[in-house]
Amino acid sequence: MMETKRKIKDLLANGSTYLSASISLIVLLAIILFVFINGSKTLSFKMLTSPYYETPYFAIVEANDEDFSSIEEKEGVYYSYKYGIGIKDSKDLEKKDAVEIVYIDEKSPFNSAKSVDGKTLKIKVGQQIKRIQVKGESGIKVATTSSKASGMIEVLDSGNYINEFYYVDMGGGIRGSLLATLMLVGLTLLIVIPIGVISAIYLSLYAKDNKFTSLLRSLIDMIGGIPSIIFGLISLIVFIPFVSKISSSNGASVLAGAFTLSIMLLPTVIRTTEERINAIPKTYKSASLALGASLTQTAFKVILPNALPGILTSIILCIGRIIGESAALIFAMGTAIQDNVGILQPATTLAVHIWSVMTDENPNFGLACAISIIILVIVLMLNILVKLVSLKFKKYEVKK
Amino acid sequence: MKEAFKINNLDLSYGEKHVLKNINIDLYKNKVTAFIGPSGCGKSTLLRCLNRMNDLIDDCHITGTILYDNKDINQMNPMVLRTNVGMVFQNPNPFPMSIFENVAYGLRCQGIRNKKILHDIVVDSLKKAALYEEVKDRLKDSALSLSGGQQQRLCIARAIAMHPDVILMDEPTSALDPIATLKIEELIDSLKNEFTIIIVTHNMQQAARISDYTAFFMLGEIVEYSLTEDLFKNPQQKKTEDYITGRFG
Repeated sequence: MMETKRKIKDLLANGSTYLSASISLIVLLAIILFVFINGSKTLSFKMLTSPYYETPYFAIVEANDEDFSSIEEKEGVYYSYKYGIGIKDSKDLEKKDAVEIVYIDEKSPFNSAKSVDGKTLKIKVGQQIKRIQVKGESGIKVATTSSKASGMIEVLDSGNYINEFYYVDMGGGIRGSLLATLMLVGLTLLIVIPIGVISAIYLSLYAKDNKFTSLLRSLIDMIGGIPSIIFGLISLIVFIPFVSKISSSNGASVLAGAFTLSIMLLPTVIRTTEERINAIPKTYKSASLALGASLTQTAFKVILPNALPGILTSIILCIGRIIGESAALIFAMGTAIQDNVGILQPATTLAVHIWSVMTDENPNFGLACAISIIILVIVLMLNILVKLVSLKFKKYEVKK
Repeated sequence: MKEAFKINNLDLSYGEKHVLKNINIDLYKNKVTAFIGPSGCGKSTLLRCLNRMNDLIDDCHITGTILYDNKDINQMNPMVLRTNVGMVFQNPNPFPMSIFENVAYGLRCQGIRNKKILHDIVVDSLKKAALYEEVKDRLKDSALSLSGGQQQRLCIARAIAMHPDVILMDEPTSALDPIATLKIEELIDSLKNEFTIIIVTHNMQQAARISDYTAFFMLGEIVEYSLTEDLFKNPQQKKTEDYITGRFG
């Protein structure tokens, strides 16, 4: 009787552990799978280097009398022998149908295209044609993206004068946000690492154990628990006015974002560095002091080099947090996606870019998921890096 | 005979704990003085007073005077004092740097940058510490790759590099094997012409072998202090006799 009762109890307990573990595993896999399925179609290398906004151009092109019939043709490309140009069906970065220029002959009139107000326009391979309007003997003919490459060539060849050639530099990329993210990571680390590391040195080497330092420690821990949106508010009240005061910027900026995140990440840096410093054998400190070194020399020549693994770990943790942060940055850096970023200008990071495209009138789910993949991959790589770094230093310790 | 240290009426307590009681002792120049006694008798604490390492302990309270070269050490800059009074610790504690950098560390902290001077002093110190022949081809290797005995001699070289007058040794051989211990003892013998050496040891045979003077400590007091030969052969106090004959301790 007792035996069966115990068996049932054990079964229930074991079952619940298996169940919980599998639920978390399934949820995790589902999220990753979901993001990958939705994002992989949009994801491309070109996305990383392209601007977000399409740049439209309107050109006027007049056929010259050159003969282009000797062009080497490639499959899938449609050529116009009147204009010396090759186009093909393609997709834009959001995977919508588009017509892309793949070939322009040296003698092609497209090399001397003019804008409506008479300026020379440089039309390049890789740009996409949106709409053309050709004046021929049989009147005006129009072709758009929906006519596909073949239809466009037909329209092109029907006349000698293109009075509107509407083409774009491809958009939908994340170049600006990627740059802003890198900039933010660099600036934030530049601010938070020195301050954090030196504070940690103060707390672990100089500070005496008294009420003040224990208060300081609890405050530092408290900062670590504040929700990030509150740091966003602080940026509105403190950092944005501050940056505006010391520079030409007016309003949200990458620099204000860096200040905000620095405050947010300070506890992480202080804590990880302090833990590492406390793990350094106390004998190093006494040995250094016994050799007539000052406490400062001891701190910077002996303690700090030995705390490097801890500092490195905190740097990597910080990068992960910066890349993943969105709430604090919505206020500090704005939500308008930018193609040209500067330290004193507003910009979006990758995470805020997702927020931005999803709150748009036409939410772009594919792009959001593609960016998520990029973020996930970066975070994964950082995690592997942490493992490698700690492994490397462990090896060093074993040698001892 | 000249004194390196004159200690008068020294009392020391850690918080409530009275560790050293009314210590009066003169330590002589260019001699090896050994402090012996059972664990917790305050001998290491007294040693750490001599280069003011007890300053680092928060609730350590000291009264009385310690004169070094007839100057009150509490009036001296502790960093200057410690360059004159070097210290070797119980466990070998080289820094995790190269062998060369370990010896050069103290010099660099004093602002010596000239490579030639640094190199000469490092080589000279390693020779004096009887380590140079073993490491001359790998001065750039990590000090942690050395054996325990070599590490301890490196720590002695590190102290010698500062050209101190006094070297304090806090049980320098207690973490070492007999062969490494022997080497350190030979080293101490060769160093005593140049330096005043004060050594704390648990090992009475060691004290008898290497020291000129011995002080026997018990419960924070000096029971007996005399020439080593006299103390071991002809102890004046009953407690000393009991201790050195192994009746307790």
